Amino acid sequence: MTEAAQSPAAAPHPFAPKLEYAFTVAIELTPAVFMGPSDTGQTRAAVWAASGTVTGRIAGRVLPMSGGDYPLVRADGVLDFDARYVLELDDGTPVYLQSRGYRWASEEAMAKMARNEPLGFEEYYMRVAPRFDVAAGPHDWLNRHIFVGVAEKVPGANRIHYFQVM
Amino acid sequence: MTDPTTDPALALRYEHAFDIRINFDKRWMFGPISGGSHHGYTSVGEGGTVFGPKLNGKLVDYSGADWPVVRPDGVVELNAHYMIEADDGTRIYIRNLGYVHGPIRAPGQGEDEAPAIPSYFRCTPYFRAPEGPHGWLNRTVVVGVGKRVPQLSPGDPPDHSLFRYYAVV
Repeated sequence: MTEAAQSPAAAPHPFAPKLEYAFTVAIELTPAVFMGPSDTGQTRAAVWAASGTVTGRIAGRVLPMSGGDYPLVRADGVLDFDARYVLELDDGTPVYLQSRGYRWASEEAMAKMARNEPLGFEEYYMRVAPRFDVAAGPHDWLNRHIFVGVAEKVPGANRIHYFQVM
Repeated sequence: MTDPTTDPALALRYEHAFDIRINFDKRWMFGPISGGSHHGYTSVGEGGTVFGPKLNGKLVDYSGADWPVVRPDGVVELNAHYMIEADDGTRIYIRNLGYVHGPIRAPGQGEDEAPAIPSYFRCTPYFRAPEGPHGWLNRTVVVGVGKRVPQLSPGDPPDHSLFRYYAVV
């Protein structure tokens, strides 16, 4: 058997990805603090989660000031997210959220975002891959599913729509 | 606020990017570590391939390993580092994070009950590539679906896994 015949694309893959909308986290952020550029040529930023809501298959709020996003502003202009904060669901369960992802756009659109001006959804790329830590119980599906998020940048806030990879 | 379930602008769109076949070398497991988890080690062997519409090449032989944590609930947390070499010679780092498990019992299920939670193998890797034709990997969220293909008898192909990766566009 040749290598090409053995390659994964040669045979139909037994899985196809299936995504289901799960929930939206709408989060208001504090003004950003910037550290850098450092010796790496990149700048670390910090914004804190001031408040927010969770709606969808889980519901609750963002625990105010439980964390934030600490993105790396890369030399290529891409924001490389590193978000960590806590959600509090309506039944009182705390959920730790950690998220990686990217935001990038044309220079013009990035400048609009930096000035906190509204812009169209198609003007930028903002996608994330989160993970969650939650106690065993009714919400522990969050501990064993992969999610991807499509995010909206609105002035002073983010709305992140999470899809569960089934 | 727009309703994300009906707003087409917020639909999640993805494109098939490439597939990876990894042939494994060693498999070790040790533990328990803190919390009752076990630590695994599964190293990349020889002859791995990368094939698809957006990236073609191979895995660099013996370029890394998965260091998964096997949790007490049966879920394996992937934690892999290794290297791709594209057809044009570019070397690309992959860090793969994900969840893998076979059928597992939900909390409260008895030992004699059939596991209620079906098997799962999904991941969200990230990549670091030099700027140039593969630079899109530095700024694109990628989601993957995987399949384990263990060598169950001597006539079977060697122990490997298949991954199909989708770029979230």
